[in-house]
Amino acid sequence: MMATAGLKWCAPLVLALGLALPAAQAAPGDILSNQDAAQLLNRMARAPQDVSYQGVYIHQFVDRMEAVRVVHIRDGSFEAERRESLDGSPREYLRQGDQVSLFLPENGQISLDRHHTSKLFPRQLPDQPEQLLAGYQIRQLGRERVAGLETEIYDFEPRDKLRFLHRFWIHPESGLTLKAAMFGQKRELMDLQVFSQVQVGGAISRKLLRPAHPLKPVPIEASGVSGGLPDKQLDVRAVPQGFQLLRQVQRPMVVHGKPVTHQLFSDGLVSVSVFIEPYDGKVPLGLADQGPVNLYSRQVGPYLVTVLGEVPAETVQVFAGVYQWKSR
Amino acid sequence: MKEQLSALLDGELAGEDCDAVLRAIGNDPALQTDWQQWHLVGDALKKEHPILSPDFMSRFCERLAAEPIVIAPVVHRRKRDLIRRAIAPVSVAASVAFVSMVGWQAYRGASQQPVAQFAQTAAAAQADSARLRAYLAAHRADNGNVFASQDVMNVSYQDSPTR
Repeated sequence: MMATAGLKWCAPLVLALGLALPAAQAAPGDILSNQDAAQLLNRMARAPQDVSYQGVYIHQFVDRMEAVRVVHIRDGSFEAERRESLDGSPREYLRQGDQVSLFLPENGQISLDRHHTSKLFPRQLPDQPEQLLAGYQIRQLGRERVAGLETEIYDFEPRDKLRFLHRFWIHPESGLTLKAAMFGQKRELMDLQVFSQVQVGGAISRKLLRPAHPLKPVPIEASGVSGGLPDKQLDVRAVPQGFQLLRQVQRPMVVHGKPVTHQLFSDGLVSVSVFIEPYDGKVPLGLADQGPVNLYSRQVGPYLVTVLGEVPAETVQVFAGVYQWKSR
Repeated sequence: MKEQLSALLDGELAGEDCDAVLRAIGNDPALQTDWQQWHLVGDALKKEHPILSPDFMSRFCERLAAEPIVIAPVVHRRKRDLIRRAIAPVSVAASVAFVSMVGWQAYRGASQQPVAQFAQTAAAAQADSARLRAYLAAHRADNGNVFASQDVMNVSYQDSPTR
């Protein structure tokens, strides 16, 4: 365990990005103009990459909770982050630039997509975040203290019923997200990530990046769309507004070992996965959920289409309906 | 312990104190519940952005007067617990790595398709449970979210340690 007893929270007044948030001009309760919203989004997307910070955050998902220590250092062109779980079995994550190394309790084989490395709290947004304005509008809600720092609160309100409400607590001086929550359709808390202790900016020793466990480098998969759908008779109509296809790969699944086509869509904030595989007639069809994750399986011609994501049940059904079987 | 939890919530703990409380929370479901509820209450107290219905605070105060803190999510959790109890033996059989797995919950009557019968036979349920976990793991891995949740860490869709 590294020594953090002498750690003090500090929010230096001068940071590279130390401009006032654009939304400071809007009164609490107002919906941000597109221009202000875009400026806020870009700031939120850049801050976790440009600002040095360290702290401990809590991730609460369904009825599980986990504390993670995170250190991120940006010094000119040098950028590295280290994460270490504080609960349960020890896990560790180290990223320098694009190279990710992991320590996992088991010999879990895992590979990462180049585009999606380090989309971990507090880095919630993609590098080009403006796409999410197609699905959400942003409302400024007021101020609140998080981990000892003043934050500005923003609601990302879905423009349709296909998404959940997201709320972000932003440190105005740096643009760093200090707390992020996702709420269900009854406004129940579904997912919460929050710093309980954080230092933003200031001197952070590179010694804190030193791994505590033997780490293994993680292979980074090529990203993008490779190959097509498994069958020309499978027809895909327009997916819901705001969602873009980020990735399409063929991968063997653990259960039957046969290749499954996996498509990943994102609206900038949440993602939806579509799995297409030959239908064996045994798999149960219909809806299932695990907390904020909804899943829907549907037979399309000789194929099984399974859709899942951190979206309402309606969305996975709409997505599944987009896939049609064209008879010759 | 509650005082320390409160201090943690307010960001007043540092260093080893913080670690100790976090460990304690991790090991104690009751403290986890407190933590979650305190966050909800903290959010609800901010009048300018109520996440709960406007009359939440009045109802909450009534209940607080009547009994120890009980908020709506508890009901939800109980329901989930029942389902988990039904699923647990299957999960354990599938893999000891998933003891803390949250069960997949099938909706009833909300689907146009025949509703999933997840517990037809132990074998079918086990296969399906593995399939759903593999989907979830693939989904999360593609989001770079390998670190967030233990079940993902232990699932691999490339080789098959759970078979």
